[in-house]
Amino acid sequence: MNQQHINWVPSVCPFCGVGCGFLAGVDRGRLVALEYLIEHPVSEGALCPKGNAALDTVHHADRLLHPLKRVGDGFERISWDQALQEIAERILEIREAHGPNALAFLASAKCSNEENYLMQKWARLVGTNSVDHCARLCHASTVAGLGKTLGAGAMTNPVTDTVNADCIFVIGSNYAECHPVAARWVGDALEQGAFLMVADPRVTPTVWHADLCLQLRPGSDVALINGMMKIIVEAGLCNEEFIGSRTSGLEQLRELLQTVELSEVEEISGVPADAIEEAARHYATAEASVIMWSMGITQHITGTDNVMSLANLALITGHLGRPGAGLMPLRGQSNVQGACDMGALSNVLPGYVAVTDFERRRQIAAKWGVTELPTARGLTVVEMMNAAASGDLHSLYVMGENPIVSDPNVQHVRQGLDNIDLLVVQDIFMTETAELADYVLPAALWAEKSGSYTSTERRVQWQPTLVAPPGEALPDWQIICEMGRRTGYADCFPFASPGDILTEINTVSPAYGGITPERVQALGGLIWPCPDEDHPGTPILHQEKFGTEDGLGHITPTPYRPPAETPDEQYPLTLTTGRLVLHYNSGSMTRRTKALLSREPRLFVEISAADAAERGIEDGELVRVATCRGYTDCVARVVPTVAAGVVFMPFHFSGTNILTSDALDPTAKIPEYKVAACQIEKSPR
Amino acid sequence: MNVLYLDLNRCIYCRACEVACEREHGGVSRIFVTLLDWTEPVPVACRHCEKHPCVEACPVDAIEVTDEGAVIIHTNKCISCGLCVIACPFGVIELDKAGKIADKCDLCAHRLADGRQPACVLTCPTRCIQYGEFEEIMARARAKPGLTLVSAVGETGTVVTMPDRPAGAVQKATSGSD
Amino acid sequence: MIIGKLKEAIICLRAGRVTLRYPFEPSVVPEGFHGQPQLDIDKCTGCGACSMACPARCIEITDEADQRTMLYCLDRCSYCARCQEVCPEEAIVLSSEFELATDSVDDLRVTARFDLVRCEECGEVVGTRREIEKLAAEMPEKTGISVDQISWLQLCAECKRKRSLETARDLQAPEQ
Ligand code: SF4
Ligand code: SF4
Ligand code: SF4
Ligand code: SF4
Ligand code: SF4
Repeated sequence: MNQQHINWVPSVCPFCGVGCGFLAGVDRGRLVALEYLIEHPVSEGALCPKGNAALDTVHHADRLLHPLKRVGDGFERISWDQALQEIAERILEIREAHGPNALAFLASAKCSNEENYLMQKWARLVGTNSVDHCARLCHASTVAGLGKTLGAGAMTNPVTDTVNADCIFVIGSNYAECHPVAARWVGDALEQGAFLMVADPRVTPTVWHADLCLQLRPGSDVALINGMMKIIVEAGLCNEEFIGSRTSGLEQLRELLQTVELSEVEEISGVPADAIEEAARHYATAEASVIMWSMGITQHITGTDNVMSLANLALITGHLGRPGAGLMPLRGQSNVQGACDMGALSNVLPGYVAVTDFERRRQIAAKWGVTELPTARGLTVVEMMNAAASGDLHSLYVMGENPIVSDPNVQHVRQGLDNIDLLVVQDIFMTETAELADYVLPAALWAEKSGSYTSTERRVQWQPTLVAPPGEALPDWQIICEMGRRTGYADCFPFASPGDILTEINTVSPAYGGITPERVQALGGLIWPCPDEDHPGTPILHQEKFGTEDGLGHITPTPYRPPAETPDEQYPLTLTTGRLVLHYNSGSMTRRTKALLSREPRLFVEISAADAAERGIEDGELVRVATCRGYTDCVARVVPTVAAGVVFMPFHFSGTNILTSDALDPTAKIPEYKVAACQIEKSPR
Repeated sequence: MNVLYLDLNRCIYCRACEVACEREHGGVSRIFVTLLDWTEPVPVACRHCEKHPCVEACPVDAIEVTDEGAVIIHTNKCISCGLCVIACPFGVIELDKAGKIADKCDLCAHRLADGRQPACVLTCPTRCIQYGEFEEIMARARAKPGLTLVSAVGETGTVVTMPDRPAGAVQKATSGSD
Repeated sequence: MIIGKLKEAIICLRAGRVTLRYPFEPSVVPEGFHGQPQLDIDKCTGCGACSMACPARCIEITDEADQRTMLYCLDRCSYCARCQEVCPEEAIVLSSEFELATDSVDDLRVTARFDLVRCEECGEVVGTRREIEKLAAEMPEKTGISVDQISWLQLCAECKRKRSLETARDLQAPEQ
């Protein structure tokens, strides 16, 4: 390869929320090489295997090239003009016949801020708040729980700040597999003598490096954290000064903790009391402690409670607002933080303005040139599928999501999608969901369009256009603009480039006020809140006061509630799900990448030796995993890393989410992916 | 002389190094990460041994030690006898799929030539793989408490430190439960 | 014209006989002639380099149980001498033999059998006993690694990687 022709362009990894950077090599309109970007502030050149394979999907032969329309069981190629016109007309017809709430929109945490902003803007102009995206399925409870306690539903400190921590408490996160580059900074902290404790039902690669492991039962997090807080409060290890000056609600917490019995906590969580005590003391007494969590905390019916109890723990010990002290929800996708910031959620407008907030909603409406926006909270992801199944939802417009693999209880999702009048899917590949669609629109992927992406640490980074989209594929922002114009809102979509859209975002979302198209293009971008053009960005939140209305951190006591499903005679095992380092979400990209798929080619279930022996199951054998919702066949891995009674499946392959539960957290409406009662037997096949 | 340094204590079995090496070398990785007992990852690439059994085994002198101390195979000379594969103590040479050509880690000679560090070094999320001057690396390795230091065959070559854990991760975890 | 023909005839007769009385007297081939490959089974270690080099794919290797069989199908040989060039043991040489006509193809086939060594851990083929014995015999002197430190010759590459840390420790032991 002649390296001289190559133009090296700094780019942002399109996979997880860490937001690593790399240099993409462009030669005559094709992406030909990847090089490590040592100057990047988060990754310093490092990339996990997915980042290394980022270019493999770009010029992939399976890409969608033309708009398609369903005819019978197949698809027929149509023109963009016909596709856009027909979809616009049908959306308007459905709104006419059934009202705006018969429409729903799925935005995407893989698309840029600009595109998510447009998607929610279009949905709200059309008249519904039923616009949501997969953040609902991963960190909705973080947004809700931290919003309530701290007033900002985001990571408080940057990933790199972990090196400043003396105690790192990881609960329900397997960052070593899911955010590998975060392990760089934790590793550095450990070499400087930090104490790492990990609470997880499994012995994950994250646990390998821990000084203390709490192998808790799935769904017992609140009990464990309340137990830790009881020890801290009773031993007088609270940070009285911090509590006094910066928080409210300690008294109610004290009352709750009085009812907590450590022996009960031990029983519920399966973690011995002395280990809980050790963890509590380490966390409370360290100079600076940080808590990291992911979906092991959020994907429960008690997801919001779990997050709030972690916030309580940080508030009573004062581990917030300083270097090395904070709360770190590690977010899954390249732009899941941004999609939330942009208001692609059914309950909030851009900047987390509640749809019910009359005053601020009106302000946004005015900026969009309309008098009013819909006021009722819209449908969330899982509620959309329920409404589709019950016939209340008539149209669903999906941008870059694959609910038929990624949503819980997918058989129910399929019923819903089969039932719907109009299903439009805009994606880069013919995904499992696109196969059910009435219209499939070919979209450009990350390298074929420009836009800003917000990483888990609130870092907004710019991805420039590298190559042209294949065939007739178009960037999502162009498609949405065109849909907006054709549904009657031409004046609201005057944008000629993603930069124009970002300029509007600067005026609508105060935290993004100073993140202008010019400034964001610097290497490493900017960290919000960045209210004006001179502001340098804010790596550490809550240094002086919290984002709540009174500026105080609200300690919010949360009693323990058991998971929705507990094992019984028929389904005696607890199934929990999670990620693998080599795959990403529904796998539509990583399962098309040879380097990744060859290393982790098929669905498996991890089972303990005891449970396997009881069922006569051998390592490598084909087994059938069943819950009350359905069953799936996969390969058994008999491992020492799960406790007896617990089994684990990754969710990147079709099959896992046939099994998972769609029971919802009452506040955040996040489904309980992490706990399902199941049974395993040898496969009859 | 510059060498690789593998600090096994930090490895998370992400296999980024394998994917990176494979990307740099036409689809075949020359670093192998093996997972022992589901909890102990061991990344292995050529140690560039001072007393290099592979070089001695090769009947046609296809394996050469460069001035920088890297042990590299000139694949155009290889006659596919496979003796080096048997001779290497660490299992890091393999014949290609067709069984025709032996190849192994060359310390990314093509990258070093234009001033870039080896691919696995740069990609490793955890700094588990490093590259630098032998003495400096040795100093870095000796400074890590609680780690056993092993090296290649002979005095110089890749430096490896590994955890000196009395009990593996699983024991730690289960002792914390029930 | 007639005269021309006569002249030709005279010239031809003057030259005398130029062909051999073959097959009534033996034909001597020139030096470097590529005749039938000849295998010296005592020298061959069964490494298979020749098989990989042969463009006509004459040399078939099959590993079964504890035995490697090398079948030389010399009926397909194109006499290119690639095998001779690559053979590290000089066990295969292109001879001067060219009288190969036969009514049985089996006459052109040679079979060699070797004991195989399989991986102590997983049973994968490591190599032939001869290859491994040769390496074991030469290695201490060539590398300076003492005989009792050499523990990996009966392992496949994958199992050697799994054991690489122990191997490294063993190799260091005497110095520490
Ligand atoms: S850690 Fe995340 S952002 Fe970084 S390379 Fe891997 S997938 Fe990409
Ligand atoms: S590790 Fe193996 S291949 Fe590398 S120099 Fe040593 S003997 Fe040769
Ligand atoms: S396989 Fe190639 S490199 Fe290895 S010993 Fe034989 S000729 Fe040398
Ligand atoms: S130095 Fe280069 S060739 Fe060697 S293992 Fe690393 S990436 Fe592969
Ligand atoms: S890249 Fe680093 S952490 Fe990942 S497997 Fe390789 S050595 Fe281990």
